[in-house]
Amino acid sequence: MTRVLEASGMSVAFAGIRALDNVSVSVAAAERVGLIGPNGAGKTTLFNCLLGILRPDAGRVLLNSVDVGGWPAHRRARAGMGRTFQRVELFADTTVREHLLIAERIRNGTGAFWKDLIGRGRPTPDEVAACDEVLELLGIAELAAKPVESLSLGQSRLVEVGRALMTGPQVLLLDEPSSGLDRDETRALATTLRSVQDTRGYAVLLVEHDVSLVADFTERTYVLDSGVLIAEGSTADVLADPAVRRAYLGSFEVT
Amino acid sequence: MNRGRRTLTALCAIAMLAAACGNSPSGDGVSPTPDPAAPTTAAPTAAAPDAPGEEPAPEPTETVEATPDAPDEAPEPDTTGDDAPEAAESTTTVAVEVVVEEPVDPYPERHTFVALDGVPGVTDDEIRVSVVGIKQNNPLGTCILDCYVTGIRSYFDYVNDSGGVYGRNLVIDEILDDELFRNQEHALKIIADNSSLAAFQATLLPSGWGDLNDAGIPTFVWNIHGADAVNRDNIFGNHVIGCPTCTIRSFVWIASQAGATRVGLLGYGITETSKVCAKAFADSIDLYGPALGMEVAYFNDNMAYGLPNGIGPEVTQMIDAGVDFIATCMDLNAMLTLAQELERQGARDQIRLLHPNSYNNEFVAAAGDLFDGDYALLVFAAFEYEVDSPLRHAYDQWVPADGGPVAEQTLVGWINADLFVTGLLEAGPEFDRQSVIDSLNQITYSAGGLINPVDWSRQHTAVEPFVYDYAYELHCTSSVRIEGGEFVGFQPAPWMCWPGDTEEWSEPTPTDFAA
Amino acid sequence: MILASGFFEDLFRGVLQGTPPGAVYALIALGFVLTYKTSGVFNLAFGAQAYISAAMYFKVHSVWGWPKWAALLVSVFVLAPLVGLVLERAIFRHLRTASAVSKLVVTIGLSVALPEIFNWAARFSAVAGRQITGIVPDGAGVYYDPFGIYRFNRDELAMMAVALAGTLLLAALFRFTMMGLSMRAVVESPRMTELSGVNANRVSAFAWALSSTFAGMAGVLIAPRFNSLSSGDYFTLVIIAVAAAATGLLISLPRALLGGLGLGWFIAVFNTFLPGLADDHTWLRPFQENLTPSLPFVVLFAILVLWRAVGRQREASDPLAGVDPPPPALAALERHPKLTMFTRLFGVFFVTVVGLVVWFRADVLWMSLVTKAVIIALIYLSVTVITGMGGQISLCQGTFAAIGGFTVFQMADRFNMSVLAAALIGAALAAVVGALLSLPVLRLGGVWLAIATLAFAFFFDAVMVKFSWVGGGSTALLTGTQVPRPLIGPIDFASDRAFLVLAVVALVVVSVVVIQLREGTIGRTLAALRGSEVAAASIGISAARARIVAFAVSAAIAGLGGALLAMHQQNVNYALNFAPIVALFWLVVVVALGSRTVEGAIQAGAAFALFEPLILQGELLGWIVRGEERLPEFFPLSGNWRLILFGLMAMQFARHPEGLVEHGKRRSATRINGWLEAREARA
Repeated sequence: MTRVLEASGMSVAFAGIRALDNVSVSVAAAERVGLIGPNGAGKTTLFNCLLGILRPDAGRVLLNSVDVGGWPAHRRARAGMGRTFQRVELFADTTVREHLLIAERIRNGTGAFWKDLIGRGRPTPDEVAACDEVLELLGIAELAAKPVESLSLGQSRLVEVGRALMTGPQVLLLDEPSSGLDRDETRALATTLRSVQDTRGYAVLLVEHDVSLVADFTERTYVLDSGVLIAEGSTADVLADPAVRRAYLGSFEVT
Repeated sequence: MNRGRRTLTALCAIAMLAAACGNSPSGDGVSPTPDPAAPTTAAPTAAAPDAPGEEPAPEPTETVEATPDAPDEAPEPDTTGDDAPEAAESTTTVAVEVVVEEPVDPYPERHTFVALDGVPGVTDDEIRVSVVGIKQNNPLGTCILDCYVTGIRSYFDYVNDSGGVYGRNLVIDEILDDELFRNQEHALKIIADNSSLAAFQATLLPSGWGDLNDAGIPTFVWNIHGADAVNRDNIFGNHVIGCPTCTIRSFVWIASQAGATRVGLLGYGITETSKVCAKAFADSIDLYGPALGMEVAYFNDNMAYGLPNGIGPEVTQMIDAGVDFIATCMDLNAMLTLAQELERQGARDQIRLLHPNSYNNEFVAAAGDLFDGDYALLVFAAFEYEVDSPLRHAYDQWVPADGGPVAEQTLVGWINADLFVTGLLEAGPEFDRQSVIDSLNQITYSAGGLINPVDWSRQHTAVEPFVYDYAYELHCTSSVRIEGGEFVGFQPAPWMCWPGDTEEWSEPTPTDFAA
Repeated sequence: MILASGFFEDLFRGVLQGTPPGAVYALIALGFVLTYKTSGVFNLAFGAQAYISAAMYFKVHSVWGWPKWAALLVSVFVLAPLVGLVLERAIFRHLRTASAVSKLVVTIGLSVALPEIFNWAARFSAVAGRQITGIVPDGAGVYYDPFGIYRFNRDELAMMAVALAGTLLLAALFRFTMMGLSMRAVVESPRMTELSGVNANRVSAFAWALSSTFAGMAGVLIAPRFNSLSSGDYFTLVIIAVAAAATGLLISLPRALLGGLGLGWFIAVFNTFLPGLADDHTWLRPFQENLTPSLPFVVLFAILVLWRAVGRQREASDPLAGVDPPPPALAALERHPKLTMFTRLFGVFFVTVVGLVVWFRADVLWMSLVTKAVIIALIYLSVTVITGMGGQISLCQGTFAAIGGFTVFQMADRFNMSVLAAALIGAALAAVVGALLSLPVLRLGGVWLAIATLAFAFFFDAVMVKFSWVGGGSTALLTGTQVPRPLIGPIDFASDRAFLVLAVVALVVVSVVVIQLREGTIGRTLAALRGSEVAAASIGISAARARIVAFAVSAAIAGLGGALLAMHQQNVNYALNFAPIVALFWLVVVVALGSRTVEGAIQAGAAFALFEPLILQGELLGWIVRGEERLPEFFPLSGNWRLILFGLMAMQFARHPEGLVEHGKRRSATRINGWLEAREARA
């Protein structure tokens, strides 16, 4: 099984305090992997290191076996790393479809400046069709022309997923997609995510606080605590691990 | 926009310096332009039936102190329009002998009325002009537009009082405040309104002069902006800037009067004008200094405008270099800062300053004895010198009567207005804009000795390096010393002149263009 | 060794000589930091506040002849806090959660309007050539020589003492008092602070009164150093002092004090040694000649660009800001189709009528004013690109325009080149300069980017313009920076009408280009970046590349506009058209009216060029009442009302960051939409 994303020996310290200590994770093609841990465990730090927003003090990040450690975030994105945000990050004053269109254009790399100048920079029918296909897949086709300000939180998360899908990711990093959603919404989201992933076949790395979503959705899970990987393995096994339960103070139950 | 003041101040102040620094005034010794108002006995040949007791009336209350006699004089109704100026002359407080002899009036037609059709600004009763100047947002904080208008208005009163010109009264049509940045807009308004014969301008940013020139309107200006007047045949300054880069004997002479041996020169780094000015001073010392025992001991044309960081290090360096005379191309605020720093470093008594732009009574008076022993360089005959011309005497009477200060700005308005009237008289009773311009461009004009005569047939052109064909016939200066917080004259005559056709050093000739 | 002892003596004297100006910078920098700490406002109007008190002090003491203590009381301890309270109550209280950039725009407006309002209310005008009397008895006349090598007068000692004491007292206030803590907390999150039982309004009012009093004190103390009293001096000081404040990242008072003093020392020492060194080493001469007048701006630029900590500092953001409702979308998105059609029709009708009136009725003045409005609108489209589309505030658009203007002048003067070709070269040159400038400043965001571009504008103003290959040197000195009108085949644009047509064509072309860019990849890329930089990166957008393009395009448009303006006026008129402060004015006008749309830029251009002659001069009203003689007495209004209105406009911007035009559109769109929908529902 090929490793799409492989990070090894990641270490980060903030002002002398270790946020990550020699953490290694990997995601295989089309695999759904979870990353859980209590607050302050270093999940977000690891996530930022993988995405190129933060530079680790040590460690390597390989994307399709290419060392992307020195690459900025946008270059990693183009190389196949899609993501969503815990606190929704949408582009103000634009519609849902426009979010996808710009991602599509960037992926194709057809946005030469001179084309804009002669009026050839507008979305092409092909691009619109590609976007609508994804919106359809996510079940939000009817929102295509809405400004994003009018969306609910759950819809916004789907738009983020759609936007990330347009970059043609090989691995999609989901940052706490359940935060702010109630149980039903979370479950609906999980269903959608799974069906889309089945169709598109990308790998997923899901960072979550809400264990139920992880349990629902992932095959394999890593557990971080205080910057150290304390467990990894199939999701069911990991969630049954007493050490993990201790880390979470026994505050969840597996369904 | 208003905030642009600071930069603009720099440019304005420096533009004014250019006036002092450039190839400064010189003249031809004769006063070829007859004063329009000097001989006033010529009877109006054609009906100037009205000479309409249009009160020239200066406000008596404001003039009591200045010219005690004027109030008696002014309200006197004048039905003939003939003898008032004579009377005026005889009653001026300035002690001059009354002109008894009656010279031939070079303009016998001065009161000839000819009906004119289609000449802008001219009706059967009036000749109208417009004035544009800066009042609001004036970064220099000095009286410009109001004083300039006072100068023009008092001159018009003076002429109207003797019957006007060609049976018409001279009237200011519009006074427009260009608020620093609206000069072009107002120039275009004058062109569009087409209701004035000529335009007058005392501005700091002359963006409209080109439009007035192109529209063929005779334009009379306070010429602190050489570049905007140059090569424009319809623009007439109170003086001209010939060659900004040329050497200047008058400056070297003043330095020698101050006993200078080691000269320091300061200029602002922010504009070319100030740098060129400082460079011209330095070149002059290099050229003429050795013969007079003078050399450039310190040169710095990179001062920051407004001296926000003070001038401590520079003054220390000048003292170390043994400087005993400093000429600057900086504005008057900077001169104050410089003098204070010299005082602080204990060198004020050993170092004299040359002020290019401080001819301002209030300014030097407020500084107490700080500037004592310093010199100021002017482009017109300093008020401290007696110039025995009717134009000066009339100025001394009419301007204070109109409530204006005896100061540069009113004098400029006065001289501009006199040049305009000279143009009218030269053009003859069937005048229009073009004929006023054409006739002015044939004469040499000295404002009755108040300025160095300008030969308008050739001095619209500015050149560098020096070309005599476009320069003053004589290279002259009128400068004063500061003593006890006041300006005092030290020259034997209003002007000290050198031949203009050579750059060789010679002792200057005391000259009075009014004689 | 004699040389060495001379060296140290010179060095020490240089430091001493740099101390008084350094104390000036320190005072302003302290006040600046104080305002920022206590209100989160990057307060460019600090100089205006200082000016008001200085002018009031001058008026009360020197004009009315009151004793010094009374003048000090009135100007610093009554007027200054009052100004602070009014500003807080009327403006900044409503802006606590606004973005730092919109607060900056407000303070730019205030920096223009406050002195004007004061001058108008107090009948005050600039004072030049007068030694301003300080608060200390005989402050300028009595000297003390603490080290036997350089003397300080009493005014200067008072200034240094207040700077030092101010630092200590304020630091103590922040560290040890409840009020100090509360002020900082309110900046971080007023709502959070309120939850913990502090009255945020009262704290913020106190903060403004305090910082304003400090401004007044600084203004009065500084005044004697300048021998003149004009608001412009104070504004420039603020720009310089930002460099000192930046060394403390805007929050450290001791560092601001040291930064200010350090700047004074550095400049004095620089001026002590460099001229001598440059005499010996000719390669130093260009540096000496060019850096000296612009040193403060170069230092500011260098600090911003080279000191990495500056850009990283996060702007204060209220953790509770998320509870605010999101801003409504662009009106066009939600408009009823009928309304859209109606507005378009009305727009076409309006433009046609105005066009016909101008074409047939305008005299030379109005032809020129309208042409200017068209060209300024074109220049404003450059703000639409960089600010409206790119979300960046650039304060050097005037500089880019000047590059266009100077290029046309140079090409025509030296090579007799066709001015239209030269205009394109000018636009290209401006684009290159814009792109190069964007490289070092890209890292900076928001307010810092704005200040860096302002420093660049001042640098260009102080250094570049005087080069003969830019500003024309001795040619310009002799005959000015004259520019001919273009000539294409048989069409001579010397005719004002023909030139107006040319300007309109240029505006239309550039408008179309801007719309194409907005709809095209780059526009949508910039929209994404403006919406969320991290999210944009997550789909592969390179912020650096997009912003370089935005800067270059914006600079090119400004350059083209500058070239056209020079052709229109047949002169570059740099000081009049393109000085750094003019560009500040431009920015505020555009963003206040609407930087997001092409209409916004056009309306701003019209407002800039036509508002005053049309409204203030009473032309429009005169036309309505048929005859100028029927106008009310107070017409024509002073042009300075424009500056006051300008300030008010900037304040409006803070409440309607989408721009007044857009705000109006949205409001009316909402109303009319409702009406149309109601009607449809009935039908």
